[in-house]
Amino acid sequence: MNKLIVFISGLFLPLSVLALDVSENSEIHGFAMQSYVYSPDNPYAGTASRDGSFDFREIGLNGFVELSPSLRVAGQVLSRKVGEVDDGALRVDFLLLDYQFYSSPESMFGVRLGRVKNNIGFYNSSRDVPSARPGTKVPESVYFDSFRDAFLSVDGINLYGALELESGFLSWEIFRGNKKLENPSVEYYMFGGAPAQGGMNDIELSGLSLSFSPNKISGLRLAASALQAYAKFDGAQSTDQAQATLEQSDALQNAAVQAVTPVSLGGLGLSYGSASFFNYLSQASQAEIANNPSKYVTGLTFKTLYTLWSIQYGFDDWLLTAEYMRLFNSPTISMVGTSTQQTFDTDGFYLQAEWFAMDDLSLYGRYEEMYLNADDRNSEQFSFDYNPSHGFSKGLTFGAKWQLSSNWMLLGEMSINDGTAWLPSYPGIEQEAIRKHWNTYSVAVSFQF
Amino acid sequence: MAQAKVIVNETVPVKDVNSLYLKRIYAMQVNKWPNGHPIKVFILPSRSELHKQFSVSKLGIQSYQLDRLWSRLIFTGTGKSPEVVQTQGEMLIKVKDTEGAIGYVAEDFKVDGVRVLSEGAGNE
Repeated sequence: MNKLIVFISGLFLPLSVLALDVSENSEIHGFAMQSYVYSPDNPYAGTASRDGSFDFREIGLNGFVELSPSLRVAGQVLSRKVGEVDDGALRVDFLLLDYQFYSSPESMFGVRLGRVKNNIGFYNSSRDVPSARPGTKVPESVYFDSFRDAFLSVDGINLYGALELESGFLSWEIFRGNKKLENPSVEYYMFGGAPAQGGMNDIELSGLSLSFSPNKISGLRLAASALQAYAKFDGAQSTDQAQATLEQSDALQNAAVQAVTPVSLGGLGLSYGSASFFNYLSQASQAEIANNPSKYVTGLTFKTLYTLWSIQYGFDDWLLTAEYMRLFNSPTISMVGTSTQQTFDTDGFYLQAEWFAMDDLSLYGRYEEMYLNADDRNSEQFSFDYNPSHGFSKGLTFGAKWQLSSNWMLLGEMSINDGTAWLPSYPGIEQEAIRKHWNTYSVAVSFQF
Repeated sequence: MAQAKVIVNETVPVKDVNSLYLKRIYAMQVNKWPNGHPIKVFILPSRSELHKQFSVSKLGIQSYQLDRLWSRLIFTGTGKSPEVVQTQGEMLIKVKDTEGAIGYVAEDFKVDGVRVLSEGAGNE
């Protein structure tokens, strides 16, 4: 760990000398965070964390150039090593041209073109930035990992503006574009595993966000955001292939020699839409599909509306934040060749208090909940063979941040969780036996200039 | 603890400033003066007493909130943060020499070559 800190400071110290002012009109900034994560109960982002792992790093380097007072170019490269979820490859996080058409003391209007982060809720656009989020991670109940990649940014257009009203300050953004999907995390969310073949490669996004700070109550901030997402599944297996898999499955092989006992058909494969559409299949077949839907997917049109309602109030040494998320899903899913249009809502919320106890020390606590099917909070509908408590999550998080200097920060955090809706998925997680109760502990050091 | 007073470069076309306008400027939500010239914002280190005092009493916002806001602007590519100067002496020199500059020093800190803004209701 010490070696790593030395390495990271070695990397950044020469830069920090020229930081902030490369020339009159440009700046370079960067951040790095190294975490140690211990997750004894469940494999958090990979099995290594079960014994404690240093395989968690975020490094970002960014810069901007002001070509004129109204025109600027900004870009950032980001490397994330998150266990087996993200491999640390360098990616262009954003790269944009920003033109401000109009600016007066009362209003402002501009456009950004290129790869632009999606400003949804308080933390989506800055979720990877240690100094701009509440702890070692963003609240997972509303910024859950399954949609991180899909909702992070768009390659497209972003219009933004602000208006000074009698009652307060209103800022807004509208955006539209596409995002490449590099991992099957949305498929894991839908089916609990990677589909036998194919996946979603590209997602279309359009969104709107509004933020308002009333003049009457200083320190209060309200925001509402909506994001519409649409994606199509490419290269799915054929019906015949899925049928063959089904016939060879252990469940069916065993069913041939055992008496078939009635099973709960509440699992994902059958839960949405009319259960009768699989009636031509035996009960054992239905149960097998319900418990392992990823093996039997033969097509998907993914359509969802993500909405987020946010409120934050800062006073004295306290910052209180709450956000409520609701995802209106309306996918068309094809299982073993049979398609149905489904609707189900996913929702989640968190309540968070941060206390800036001393100049260099802050403490925070957060309670959060999330349900993959909001209409069925008590059931284990999204339950899979390897992960029976996937349908919900409840969690309590405590943490501390110690600002060693203006550049260095130490963080410590622990989470106590019930249910695994926001446990990050990674290829191979379906080989593990996932537990309902799980805790995680992490410490991290971060550097920023 | 001394109160802060707001100082601006002589070219700045504003004589008084209300706390709301000042807050927009320091939150980097307004980046041009009424005459269209860019605003150059200066601060003392965000952990300094005078900065914290300035944030709370002049802007009505906690300094930790400003820090997080500025981090967000920088690392999402949507804006920039104020330039940090280490001392009040340096603040005075920077504001004096930079067109469109705004900053602050302690009430009892002697200044010349810059304009001290009075707190008023108007922007102009």
